[in-house]
Amino acid sequence: MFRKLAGIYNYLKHKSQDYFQSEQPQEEESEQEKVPRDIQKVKQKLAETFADCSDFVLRELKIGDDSQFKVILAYFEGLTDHEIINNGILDPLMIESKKIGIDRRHEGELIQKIKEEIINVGEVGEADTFTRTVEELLAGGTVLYIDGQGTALKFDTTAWEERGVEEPQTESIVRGPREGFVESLSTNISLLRRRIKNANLKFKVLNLGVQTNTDVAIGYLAGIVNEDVLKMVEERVQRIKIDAVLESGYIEEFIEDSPFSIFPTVGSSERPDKVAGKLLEGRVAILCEGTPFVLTVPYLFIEAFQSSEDYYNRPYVATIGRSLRFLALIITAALPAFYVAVLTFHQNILPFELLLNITAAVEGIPFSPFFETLVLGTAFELLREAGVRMPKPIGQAVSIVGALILGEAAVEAGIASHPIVIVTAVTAITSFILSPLLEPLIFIRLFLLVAANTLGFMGMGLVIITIFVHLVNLKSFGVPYLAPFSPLSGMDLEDTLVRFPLWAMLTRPRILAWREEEGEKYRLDANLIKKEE
Amino acid sequence: MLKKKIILGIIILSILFSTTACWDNENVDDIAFVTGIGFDKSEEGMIEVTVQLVVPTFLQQREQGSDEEAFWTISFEEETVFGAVKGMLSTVNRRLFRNHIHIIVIGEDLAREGIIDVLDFLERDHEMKKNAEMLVARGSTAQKVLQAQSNLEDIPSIHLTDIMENANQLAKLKQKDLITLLREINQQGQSSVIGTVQIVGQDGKDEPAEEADNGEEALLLKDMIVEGAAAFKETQLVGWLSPPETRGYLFAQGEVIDGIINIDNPHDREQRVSIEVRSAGAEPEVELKDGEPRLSIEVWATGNLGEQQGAGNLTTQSDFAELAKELSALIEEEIREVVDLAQQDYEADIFGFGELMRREHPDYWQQVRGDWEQEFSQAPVEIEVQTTIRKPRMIRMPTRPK
Repeated sequence: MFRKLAGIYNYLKHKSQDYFQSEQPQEEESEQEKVPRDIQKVKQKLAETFADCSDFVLRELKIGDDSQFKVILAYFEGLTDHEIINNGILDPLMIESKKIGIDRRHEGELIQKIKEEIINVGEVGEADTFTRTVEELLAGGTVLYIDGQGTALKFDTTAWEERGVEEPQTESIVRGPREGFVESLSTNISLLRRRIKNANLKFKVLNLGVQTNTDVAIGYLAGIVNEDVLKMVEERVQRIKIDAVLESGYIEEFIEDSPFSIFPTVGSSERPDKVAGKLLEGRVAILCEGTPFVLTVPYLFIEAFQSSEDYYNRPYVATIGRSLRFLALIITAALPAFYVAVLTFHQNILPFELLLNITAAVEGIPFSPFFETLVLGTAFELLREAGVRMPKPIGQAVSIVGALILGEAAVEAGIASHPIVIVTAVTAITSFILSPLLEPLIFIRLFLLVAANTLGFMGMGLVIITIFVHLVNLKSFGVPYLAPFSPLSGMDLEDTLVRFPLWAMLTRPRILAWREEEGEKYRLDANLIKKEE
Repeated sequence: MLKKKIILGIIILSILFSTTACWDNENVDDIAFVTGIGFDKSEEGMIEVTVQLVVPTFLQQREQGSDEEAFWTISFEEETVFGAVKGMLSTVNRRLFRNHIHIIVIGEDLAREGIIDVLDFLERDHEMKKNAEMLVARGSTAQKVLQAQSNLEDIPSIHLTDIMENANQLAKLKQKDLITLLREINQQGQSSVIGTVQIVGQDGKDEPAEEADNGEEALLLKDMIVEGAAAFKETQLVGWLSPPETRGYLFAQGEVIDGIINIDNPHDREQRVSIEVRSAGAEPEVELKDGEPRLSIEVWATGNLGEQQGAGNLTTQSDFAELAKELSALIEEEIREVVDLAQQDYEADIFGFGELMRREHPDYWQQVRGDWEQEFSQAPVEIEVQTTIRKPRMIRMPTRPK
């Protein structure tokens, strides 16, 4: 099985380009059918294409002075705005067209006339091919087919029910904007555009998913973004060939540098202010229709410790927050393992009275500390999973049952000891502090636990070394994962453990623009300050 | 490349998992914590090892009001210490864990014969806590000391260790831990001094309470007093230092951190004044004059006037100077006493002059290293004490009826 996986991986990594290139010509060759001139043919074709589509609306109209032009207005109910169609398209077509007086004489310039004089909808365009019109219909547009013309008119009437902009559920903060991304791509783009009012903010829209035709936008700030990274992102995103893109996670898995690593090399956020900040640092954002989670690359290890709130609060508070998050990392990863190692190998390192207390608590428990930790840790993960999956009202019950059964009853019954419950609880609390690293930390915790039970501190040391070897080898879109620590980038340390005051952050992250001459360019601000003095 | 990595990974994992349950892995509830260990000479001439074990469960139950003792002592006679420690496993169901030994007690009989044989095991043992405090059971056995219950602490060893830490405020007890003792024994010509514990009995008499107790009632730590010191010549006990002599010894060594010294009230000779020594130091020196060693100890101390009995206002500078003079005389006397004791009675260099001599006059040292103790006991020792009294603590003038 593993060989097969590796095979697929290698195939995708090395051969994918040729593979998809050979496919592309086929697509281009596929018949680009013109819109038929005969309105009856159009009707027939539409009926064929949208057979059994109950939400498809096809409206036959006769317009012009004496109703001599047959037209078909087609749209999807639910994807379009009734008001716009009624007031902006139907009303003018049926009333205005008669007032203006369109008759046979205008047949040649009919399209032009309708476009320019009759319809009062903001975005109007022409479509030559039938396929194009179908795409437009599916995207929420309204298409007007006119008898005798080889071209159809398309109007932007897109309007569907969507969630309003709300406070994000996942990354809540105390100080800062309350807006979060929503499922609509255009709204998401507008949320970013509102924060960065700059013509250099570019969005390249691609269409992904053979079946779903999902819009995916690659956003970047021209002039700041590293061209190499941008090229890499575009290349990788374009390479994706998949039936469906239902969430940005689909894209994430395809563009990762190391698909087998437990560490995430693509970041995701629900907060427009956070993504805007990342764009301004020179990162690339990937927005996907249908999900509020926006991907940002390159994603570095240090970003798990950075919160958007860090920059809204004063530097002291932010620095304390950073330190707490590093502490949380250590506790989450190593506390259970440390406990097991101390209790089975290194009883000598604890203060005597503490050791006595722990021993008294552990005595009479039939299981080894390792087994206990494993069982309680698993129980906690189950509880967490249940809490996430449960409907909200039942979630309460889960937490009560979990707290009572796991915390008290297990100890009372002599199945688990008090220290283990404390260790598991502390680990659980701290694991939520670093939500981006939640998943890798579960694995690391487990590795460390096994190592601690077999070789004590030495085993833990070995595992930690192994993890570091992996981490320093990891790259996210060409940027070393552990930067700016390894390789050390002095100027970038301003935003790591200690968050420097904003006025002291003189350069943009040089690790992202890792070409030497570019890095020099970013020091411009510092030079300006010197000159002023 | 990937295949190689996978194979390597499998090998590493298989090694990691096949080395599980190695000898060092043991659960914390499979070991018995030894808090104190004691050594005696048994009647058959064997070594009797006594250990004080803690029972953590009882410890917790005692906090909830149980009367069960939280500690347990067990003795075992064997030819060797290691043999005894292992031999106890036929009585104790858990391995004796020696990393939390707080205190090492040596019975008087064994101390008189020499302690090096029991120390050897402690030095070698990888698990032994090398900074455990040493005590000699004066006029008694280590077993009795370790069996004594404490009214204040659940674990008597911790009570004893805490008392030894009090020595800092008392200057009546020589504190010595295992590693320092071993280092001193390794130095040629140097003799050691170890603190002592005595059973004084409920009536305060200086004799063992054994007879009074009929062997039924357990001994209590409150019937014991931890003060004074035992002087060793090389590794054999040669005599005792009383508390004042111990203080003199500590002054000579510069080890007084805090202590109360009572002297006469200069205004009222019948009454006493307490001086609280706040800091003190000493500088022993050796020199050779005409090939003969001359030793000297220079001691300085500063203190506060801690208590005054009797009349008079002892807060002026001239009073302080007088008090200081008195204090210097007293300290000098105490040091002189212990120096005489070491030179004449014990012929043991407990001050470490030999080491100084070795460093400063190596040629001379080479000549006398075999019989340095002879040389030491005949060498003149000059003692110079300088003291200062700084302030009368929190008052400007004592309250007296005017």
